[in-house]
Amino acid sequence: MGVGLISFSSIWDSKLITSILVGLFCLSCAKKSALRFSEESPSLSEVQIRLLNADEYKNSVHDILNVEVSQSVRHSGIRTGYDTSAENQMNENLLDQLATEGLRIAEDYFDQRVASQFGCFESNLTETCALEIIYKLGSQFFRRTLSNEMKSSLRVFYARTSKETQSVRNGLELTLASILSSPYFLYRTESGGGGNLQLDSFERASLLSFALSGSTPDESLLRDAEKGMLSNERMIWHARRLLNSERGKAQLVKFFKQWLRVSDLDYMVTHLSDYPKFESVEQALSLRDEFEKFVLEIVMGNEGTLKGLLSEPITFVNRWNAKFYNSDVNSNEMVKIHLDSSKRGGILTLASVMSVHSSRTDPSKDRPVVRGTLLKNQLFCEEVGSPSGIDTTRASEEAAQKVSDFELLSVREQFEAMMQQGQKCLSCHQIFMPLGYALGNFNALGAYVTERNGRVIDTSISNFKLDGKAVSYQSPIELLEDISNSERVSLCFVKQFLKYVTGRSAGRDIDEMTTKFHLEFKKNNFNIVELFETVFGSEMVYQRRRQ
Amino acid sequence: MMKRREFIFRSAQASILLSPILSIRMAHAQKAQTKRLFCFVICSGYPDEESFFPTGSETDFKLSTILQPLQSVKDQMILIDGIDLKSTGPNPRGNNHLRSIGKVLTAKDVLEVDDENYADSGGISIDQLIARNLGLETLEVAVEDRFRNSIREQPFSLGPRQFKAPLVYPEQAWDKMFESFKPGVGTDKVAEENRLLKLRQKKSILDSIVEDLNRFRRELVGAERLKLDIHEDSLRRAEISVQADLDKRNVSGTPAACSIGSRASNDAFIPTRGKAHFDVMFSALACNRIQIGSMIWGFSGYHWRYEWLPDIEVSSIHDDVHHFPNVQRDKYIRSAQWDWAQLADFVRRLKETPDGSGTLLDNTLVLAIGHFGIHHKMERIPAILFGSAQGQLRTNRYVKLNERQENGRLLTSVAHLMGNNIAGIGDDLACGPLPHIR
Repeated sequence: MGVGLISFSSIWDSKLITSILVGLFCLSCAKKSALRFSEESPSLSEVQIRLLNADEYKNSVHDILNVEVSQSVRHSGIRTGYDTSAENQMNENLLDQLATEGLRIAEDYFDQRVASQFGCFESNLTETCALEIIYKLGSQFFRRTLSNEMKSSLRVFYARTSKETQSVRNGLELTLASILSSPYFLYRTESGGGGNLQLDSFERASLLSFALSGSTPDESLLRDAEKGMLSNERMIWHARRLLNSERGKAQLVKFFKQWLRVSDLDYMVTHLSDYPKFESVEQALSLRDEFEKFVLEIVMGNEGTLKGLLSEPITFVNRWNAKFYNSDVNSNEMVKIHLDSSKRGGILTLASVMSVHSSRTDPSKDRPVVRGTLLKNQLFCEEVGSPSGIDTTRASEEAAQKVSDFELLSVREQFEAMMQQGQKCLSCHQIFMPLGYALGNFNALGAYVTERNGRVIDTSISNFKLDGKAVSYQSPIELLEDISNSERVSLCFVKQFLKYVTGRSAGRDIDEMTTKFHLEFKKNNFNIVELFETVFGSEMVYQRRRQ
Repeated sequence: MMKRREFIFRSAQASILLSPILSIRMAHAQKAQTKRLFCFVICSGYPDEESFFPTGSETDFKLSTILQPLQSVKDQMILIDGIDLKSTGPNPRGNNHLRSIGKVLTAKDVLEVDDENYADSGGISIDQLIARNLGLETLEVAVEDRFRNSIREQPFSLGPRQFKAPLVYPEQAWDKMFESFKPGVGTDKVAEENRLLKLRQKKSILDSIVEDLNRFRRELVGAERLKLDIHEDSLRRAEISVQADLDKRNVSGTPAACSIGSRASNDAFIPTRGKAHFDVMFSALACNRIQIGSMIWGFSGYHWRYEWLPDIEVSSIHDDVHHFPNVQRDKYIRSAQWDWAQLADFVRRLKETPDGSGTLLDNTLVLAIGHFGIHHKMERIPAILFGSAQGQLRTNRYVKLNERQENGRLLTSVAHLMGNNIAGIGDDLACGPLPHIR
């Protein structure tokens, strides 16, 4: 008996000890989790809602209804450097425009398109059919499964308007117009569906879709969202799918245009008279097409890396822009050519990029201030301050008057003369001007030149601080080689992409995500598509905290 | 840098709910003779004082070269010399470009944002303030070739961080003013029914937004709800306009001067676009569709090439001419002359159009104001009033102020002339009006 008791007691004790040990272990885990959460939470992104920008609105309407939005509906500018800013707000004029446009779109849709999407519209337009149309369109535009409350609201509105107008068709039109003006359509939310700290599946679908395709989530994404199948791996799969779509490629190009501040490539084509330096609209088109083809070739092609984007000596030309490269290509179609790598390499040396950051009229006049600040701000993420308290007008004019034959000088010589007007000018400009001077071989058409007005163009820079060390270069290629290998530039690129995705330009969350994703970017040899996939495959992007 | 939560809260503070204003606006609309205001923000300054300011005394003065086009309406103008935009607060990138345009109608420093190329409005602009206080309808337009949504083309504001983006396309302005307004259609029952149908449709849509907004707001937390407050404020203003049209206020009480041309064109050629905007503005004021019109001519640092003027064509008027006021003096003067000539045509048209017992200009105060004097200085900015404001002003004067005054005082004077006796506006809410104006 004593042995039995001892035995039982031993068993019990071991279970107790085990339980205690397990309990202690769990307590330890919980404590770690709690610590991790509270340590991480200050750096999580805040809950926010974002007004759709003009392209997102237009693309959503087109993709769901196959109707074109009127060209004059415009309601967003580039605020954080990207048109995805979370700071865009509604205003009275815009709201009125959207209400009017919503009525026009609805009329157009029910005149011409609805039958191709809803067979019952023409064959059997009953109450059931009408509700089917409303719920389906509502779900697509609101980018989620409709709640009972949402359904009820749409149903009541439809019932009232169809009764008032004594027409099912008119009721449907007005209901669609109300959907197009609804905040559920016009704003995309990142709130975790009412207080949670995780974006729900529909919000994840929207975040991914608008970032990589500039439009509403398609059927495939919405279906996965509805079924709760948007795991991080599945998000990566959708990211790849969207990047490879036509919409995705267009959005990718748009991001790069905004990153390098060359959105005017589109404007040049439609407003050629503002750019008399170009011979024809075909020439402006060729530059726009060059940029787009280069981005897609590098980013979506075998190269794929940031280094390749910044250094690969290739481009695309046809008969209208070939002369900028001394190429004899004579076709109407764009043809890939290899460039002299001692003179050009990478996106910054493309004629398209250099021509945007130049004079609009004078083919010989580049703009070193603009080019220098472009590199500083967009590639190094080092903001250049504003010339406060200095009358730059006086500086430029006094230089022009003091120096003989000012107009005949090279652009660098002109600016160096202007900088002599005061230490205030010099102290600031020396931070970024050398970067602009280094690109001085590319004139306002983007052609490579060595002289202006018979004066040799000096692109050398010496003792310039780059990436924390003093450097000297004789040619743009030397500078660009260092830029393409720069740790800071790769870090900045990650940050720029996150600014674009989140709609915000600063914050501890942006900084911490930048650090985290940069590590992965490095591990993946700075492959750009893999960076995008990493971002959307990471839970960090979908976590939020209350404000 | 202001924290995000803070700026959203400030925006909400300035977002005034309109329901108490509704009754004032409807009451005001019943008046037979309504005072009107046209605010014209001009973005060309002048190369030197001699080229802009007149010579002579207060009542016996000769117009300068730039202002020669105003000769035909000289008897209706008061040119005020000595108005400054006070240089305080942040100066976001752009060498006074952002600060000046943000302050010219608000008298309030702009607010910083994360992007150095941008800034936010610091306060309500005078046109919106008067409209709000008196319950008046407004129209804001920008004469530009394309939409930018940059602060550089947005001097009109409903409050801190609440730009009221002007309409760039004349077609939009025309639609907003006249799509649901057909003067003299009282006897055409079909046209009237169509007009009312469209208005009722729009009202239904706007009503549906209210419900959705309330539901949407419940699902959000914290500061993001305040974005919806701004949305709701915009919605209420839009509802007021639609309701007024539904009440047939404008159709039954159409002024004699009211006539509407064909739907405006969106031609981007600046002279054509400018004329289209002026035509819409004229008709909107004459037909009493609005009582306050606001127009920005160009934008701060605009790039027009003036290729329509002989021997001027440049890459960018600001970069190539305004930046070289001595070397390019001739081009500067001629391009600025052309700008003022467009306004002169508009003022002359107001002067020549009967309205009640006087003219449209008698009942419309025109404020023409620039955000730059000699580039990029914000001192001695162009500031001209046209019209007697129904006999309150002695016109045909060149008023040289004894000491420099900030623009807040001029804007306060404008409000007083409109019958809105505010104590002040902008940085100094007790600045009072300008002395010696009346």
